[in-house]
Amino acid sequence: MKPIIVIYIILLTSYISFGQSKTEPEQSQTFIDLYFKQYSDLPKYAVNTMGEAMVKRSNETGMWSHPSIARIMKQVKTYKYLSFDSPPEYSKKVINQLDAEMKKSSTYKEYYRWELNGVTSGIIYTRSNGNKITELVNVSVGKKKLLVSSFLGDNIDLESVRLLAVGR
Amino acid sequence: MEKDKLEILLEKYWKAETTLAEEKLIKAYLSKQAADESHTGDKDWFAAIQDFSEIGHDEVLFTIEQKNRKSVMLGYPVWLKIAAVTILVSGLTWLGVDYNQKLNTQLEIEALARRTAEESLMSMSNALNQAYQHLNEPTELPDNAVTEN
Repeated sequence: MKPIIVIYIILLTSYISFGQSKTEPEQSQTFIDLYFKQYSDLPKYAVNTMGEAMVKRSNETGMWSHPSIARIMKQVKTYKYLSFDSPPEYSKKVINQLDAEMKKSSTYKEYYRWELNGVTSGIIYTRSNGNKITELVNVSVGKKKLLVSSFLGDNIDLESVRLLAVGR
Repeated sequence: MEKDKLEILLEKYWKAETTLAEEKLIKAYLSKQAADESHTGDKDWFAAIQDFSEIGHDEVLFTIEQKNRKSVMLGYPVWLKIAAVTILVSGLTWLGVDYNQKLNTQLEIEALARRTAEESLMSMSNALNQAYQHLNEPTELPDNAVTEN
């Protein structure tokens, strides 16, 4: 009996030590859920989610202002956005905190960052499954607000997003 | 008539053995002895017969008493009808307005979400285009740049 108990203890210890993934987030969790919940006490902190049904209905009823946007939104299943009041100094702090988090993350990659006078104006992050982008994140720093948009899908084409502003 | 004789006549009456003359005697005696508390059941019985004969019924009809059923009052006062109609109309109007407001709020939320999504996509698109343009533009070398030649 004793060897069996010892084997069970070893298996249990192994499961607790290595079996639970600590870094990989669940598929349903978004960038907003992972990195912005800590700011939920801030004024006018509001998260809104366009669920799959609402995105689908918007696509089917032609509610997007431009066919190019409709084309992109057909690749999107869920759209989630967060906004909260944030003065420039606080936004700088949030971006620094985000940069520190991104250094530890293997899930999200910084795709593009644009700055104005040395201050970050916006960052695009991507989350991929192989070569397919499954989440496209836009962190936009405003004068008084911070807006985070998260587009979830199976395969979001970034080139379609880039071409959106071309010829408009 | 003495009480003993009355007792005998009443006994005969309840056995249906009395004659009409004897019944008249009983009736007359009992009607005169109204104040007397004895024979109250017999008095009531003969009084009832007298009442029926006075209203034109020759025979006594026995009926089973039925419990009164409660009936719905249909004739409401006018003020109550006006109040009920006012409450009904107000309630329906409030429900309609409330539903409309909720619907409008929902539509506004959806429109705001769509607008935010579009603005965010446009913001990313502009940024990515600027990045591509900068990458493709030839940049001037600074004066102190070291070249191979």
